[in-house]
Amino acid sequence: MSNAAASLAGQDPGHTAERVKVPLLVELLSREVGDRRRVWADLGSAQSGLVQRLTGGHNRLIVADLPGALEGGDANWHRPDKVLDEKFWAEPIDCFLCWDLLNYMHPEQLGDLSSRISRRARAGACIHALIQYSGTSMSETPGRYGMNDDGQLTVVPADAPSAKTPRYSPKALEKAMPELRVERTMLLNNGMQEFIFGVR
Amino acid sequence: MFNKRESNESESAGRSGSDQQSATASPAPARSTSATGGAATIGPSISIDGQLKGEEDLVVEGRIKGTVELKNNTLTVGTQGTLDAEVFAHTIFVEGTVNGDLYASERISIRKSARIRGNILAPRISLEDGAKFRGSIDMDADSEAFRKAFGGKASAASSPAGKPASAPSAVDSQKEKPPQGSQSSSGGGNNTATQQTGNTGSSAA
Repeated sequence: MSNAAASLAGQDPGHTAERVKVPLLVELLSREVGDRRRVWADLGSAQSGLVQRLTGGHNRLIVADLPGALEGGDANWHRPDKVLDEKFWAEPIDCFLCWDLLNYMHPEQLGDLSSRISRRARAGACIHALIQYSGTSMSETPGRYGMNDDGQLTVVPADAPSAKTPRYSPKALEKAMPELRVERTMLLNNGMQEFIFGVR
Repeated sequence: MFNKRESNESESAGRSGSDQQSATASPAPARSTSATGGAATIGPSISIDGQLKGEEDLVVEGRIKGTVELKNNTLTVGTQGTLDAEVFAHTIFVEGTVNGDLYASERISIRKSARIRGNILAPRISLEDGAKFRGSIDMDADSEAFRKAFGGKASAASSPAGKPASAPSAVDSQKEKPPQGSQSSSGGGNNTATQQTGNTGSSAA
């Protein structure tokens, strides 16, 4: 078992961790930008693999922990700049990492998120997300994710599947998030689809 | 302010008389006190409101509100420790709760028991899965925030490219230990992968 898989499974031994290749995310993380500083906004929970991956470069990583806000019953859980104080968002963001969180937002929440993202984004910014596309159900709450040193992602579903999928097609996502446009997608072998959005 | 007498009482079991130091009067930095087990300890019953400065390693199991400056030394926030403070240190280990900004010229290590809300700035940062963190992690040793905090580049970021002289690795993370006196986590589950930049180049199913 890899480092992230062992660590995540160890936290919650009742759930099965699966590994999945995420080529678009790996490409984003590996993109050469020279000495330019890059600002990442992780809307998910803090994870060791991502921190290690970004350490050593000119990187700043903002961790909003929206799953923690959702778990805590925060009505603004889908609003990163409400969950995390304004002072953290002063610097424009180069890349937003949404993991599977978009699956758990209603269309109105997606619209609200997209407008907040477009306000905080640097020109040319991108948004990465994982969307359920096959299968008939998914966990009722967001899962946990961990980057491994081989570039694969460890996914630990939060609980027994109980929510219907898919909720959003690429067109439905673009309709719900008018400030964003789909730039690239890739089907993954765990029933999810990897998305890269750009800001219009 | 910091009550050295109270601190000494709580740490007395683990220190010999000869290695006790003043928290403010020592003329030379004493960065390696943790190696001898000589870190001062602020016990669970102690609460400090104000500015704390020193030239020796410190373990906090109590509460501190204000500012902590140990620019040449190691600060460990133990599992019972709570900081509502801005912290400047050479190395920082967090096992407890922090609300505030942490600046380290060398390294910050966040254990899985940690709960942090704030900015973290250090050239080398490790975080264990399970830690609760909300805020920002700045690894850019050339950033304006670093210069403000330490008056120049951080100690581990002196290479021409602005990258740490030695990148963190799994070996590093296994070797690093908080000073004695800390209620250290067992170290299990520390998930700090060796840094790599390769693309898998594979396509999904």
